Amino acid sequence: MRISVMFLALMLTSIGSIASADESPPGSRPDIIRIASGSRTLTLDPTRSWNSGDIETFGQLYSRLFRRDQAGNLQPGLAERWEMSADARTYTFHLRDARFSDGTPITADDVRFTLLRMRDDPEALYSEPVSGVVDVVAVDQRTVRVMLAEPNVPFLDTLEVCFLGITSRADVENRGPGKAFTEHPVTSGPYRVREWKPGDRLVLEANPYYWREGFPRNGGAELIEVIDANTRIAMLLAGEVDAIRQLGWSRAESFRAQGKVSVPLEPANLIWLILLNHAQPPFDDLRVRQAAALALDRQAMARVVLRNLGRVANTTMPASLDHHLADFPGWPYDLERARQLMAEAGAAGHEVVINIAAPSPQMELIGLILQAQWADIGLKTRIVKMDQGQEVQRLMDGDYNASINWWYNENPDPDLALRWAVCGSCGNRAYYTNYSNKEVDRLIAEAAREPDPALRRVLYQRVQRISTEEVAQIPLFYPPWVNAYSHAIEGLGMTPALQWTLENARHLR
Amino acid sequence: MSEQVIEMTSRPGVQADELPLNLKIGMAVVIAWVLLAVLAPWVTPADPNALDLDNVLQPPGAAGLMGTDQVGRDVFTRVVFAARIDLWIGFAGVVLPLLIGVTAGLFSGYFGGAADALLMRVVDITLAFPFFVLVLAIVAALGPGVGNLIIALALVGWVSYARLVRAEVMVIRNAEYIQAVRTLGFNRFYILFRHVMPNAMAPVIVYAMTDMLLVILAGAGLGFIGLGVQPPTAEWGAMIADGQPYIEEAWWISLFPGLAAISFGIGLSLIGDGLARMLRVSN
Repeated sequence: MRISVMFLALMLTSIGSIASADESPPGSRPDIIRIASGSRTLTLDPTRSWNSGDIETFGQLYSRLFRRDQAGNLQPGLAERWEMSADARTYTFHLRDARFSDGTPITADDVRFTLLRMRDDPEALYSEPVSGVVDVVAVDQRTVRVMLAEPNVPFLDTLEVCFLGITSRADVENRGPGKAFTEHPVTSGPYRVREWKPGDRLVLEANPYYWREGFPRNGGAELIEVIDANTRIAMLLAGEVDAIRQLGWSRAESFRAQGKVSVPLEPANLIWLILLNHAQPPFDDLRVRQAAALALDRQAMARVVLRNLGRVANTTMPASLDHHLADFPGWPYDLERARQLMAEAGAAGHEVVINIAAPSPQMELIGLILQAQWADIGLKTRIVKMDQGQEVQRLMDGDYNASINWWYNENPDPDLALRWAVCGSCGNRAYYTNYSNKEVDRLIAEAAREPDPALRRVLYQRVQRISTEEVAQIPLFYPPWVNAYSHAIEGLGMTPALQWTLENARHLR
Repeated sequence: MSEQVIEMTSRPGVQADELPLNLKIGMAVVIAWVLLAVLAPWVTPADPNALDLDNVLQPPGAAGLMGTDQVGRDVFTRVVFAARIDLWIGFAGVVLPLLIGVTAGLFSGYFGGAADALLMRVVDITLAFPFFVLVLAIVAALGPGVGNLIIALALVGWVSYARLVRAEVMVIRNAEYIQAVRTLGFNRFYILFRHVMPNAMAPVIVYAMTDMLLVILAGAGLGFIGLGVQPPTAEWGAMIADGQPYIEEAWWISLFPGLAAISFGIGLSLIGDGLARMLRVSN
């Protein structure tokens, strides 16, 4: 019996491979774009992760109601048209005639399922974008109505974020989220999954049912995980991949000068920062946080670590976002005041554990400088390097003193950004720092309701001022994306929102 | 054979001026490194961990004999201070397994029996894993750091010594002079340590030299992948890794610790060669 079952399985797999081999006609090899990234793909379920490796892939698999064009403007996506009610609390979206990768139509019911799943599923990691949604109604097959508790000015921008990619209700309910997002997920974006080897690569093929005519311009893509930057560079130079993420700041200048590959330094909604745990000594004391910020010579850090590829951060928010408080001086380098604050707080001699996700030469370098500069004010430090996943877990568990980290925003509006970084009541305890200021939370909520851009600006700038002065985190700098691309491809880039423009990419022939 | 016997009778002991040349060179290199390591604070111009963010990536020359690294630390100072760590890893990582392994091998080889069989199976299992992989696994489990690295080296390294000594002992225990002392009624531990051990040590000492090289490379290798010595402590392997992102513009960060490791390694293998030749003569 055992043998015959095995034989059957063998026969089935061989039939399968013959069938898939038949799909591409002989002679025409599909154009495959290969990208090596140091970030890992941990899940294909857009509600389950805010890890950068997953964010890089979500956008390739799932279309949203809106999309952003090359210039960064919001364009219709799966929603062809939309209307807003007079009280700005009800939106009606009219879906275009689009299909999932299994050929079934994308319906109002799927949109409803997607939004409510993000809001209600206890395992959804990032429900903040839809927290204001009261209900979603499928009016008919292609009309969906979203009711909000109160007006939300950036709501359409919010619907574009990669976590709100539309997924198939029928498939997720039939197979269950466990299977539906691991074995050939049904997708709505430019690609579907041909093969996923966790820890190695995600092999994508063009989704034949993708709604954008003529896209993707290639036959598929491979997103390859290569943790070591040197290996990625070697692969790019050898032509094994067409693009790499994270070239490394120290190498950008010399690679730009050599010109063998293109290193465009793409703008990013990005901030590098130090997270401080406000729930534990010594950083529960505002004076110690201020001292920690004042003790850092961030100009020197930007020169030595970032090689001046970006500016020193002056607020808790990425500078590329709307309403950034540009004329705010931020924290200067003032050792004397820092020492004074440390003395007042009586915190000298405290040991601080700094978590670093390894391997990252940049973070290790920042850690080294932190160690030296915090020693100047009597803060002893111990740097603990750990795996990316472990680092995130410790962060979420609040098991750290300080963490060298970065985050980016999905769109240019400050709403989600400030909810993510400094809002104590928005689900992630202000990026797991336990920073909490009722006024900040109130201002963020008020700004989301405020239709007048000038008034919103005032509110958001107050939030930045307060959270920076209270050292919610220590902002370090605003770097660009430093990716490297082969000259043999065109159309591939990275948007400020950490999305590859993969569907536009093709090899030059 | 007869020639050697004649040689042995004509030279009861090896004189210093008759040491093989490679042994002399090796000793000179190793002693030089030991002196540098011991005298590190006095022979170097800077603090090995002092950052100078205004003088980063300075080439060898005015900014120092070997230039400065990515945070402005003096590379020469760090190479010398790193010798302290690497030599300590080499010393502790050999002495500890040597003591454990020799003791195990002596008893195992001399007394035999079930304990011997058991011990040799443990040795077989340990040897079934590649040396570096096993050290890596143990360090990963215990956590990075010099102490844990030395523990891992001891746990993995002793088996080679045990096997080596056991083989020697099994030959020696049947030798006539051992039978003679046994007949005279000496205590068996006395026989084991006074008569068997000294005669079994020659290959161990030769092997220890090559082993030290291996151990230092393992230490540097683990430092290179971040599991060895933790920053900011200077260590050759970690320094080579630190310099990697800068290799196009600042080759000196990686080159000098690399040369240091190579020179020390060559010194050790010359000593190993020399000792092997010398001990074969006196055998």
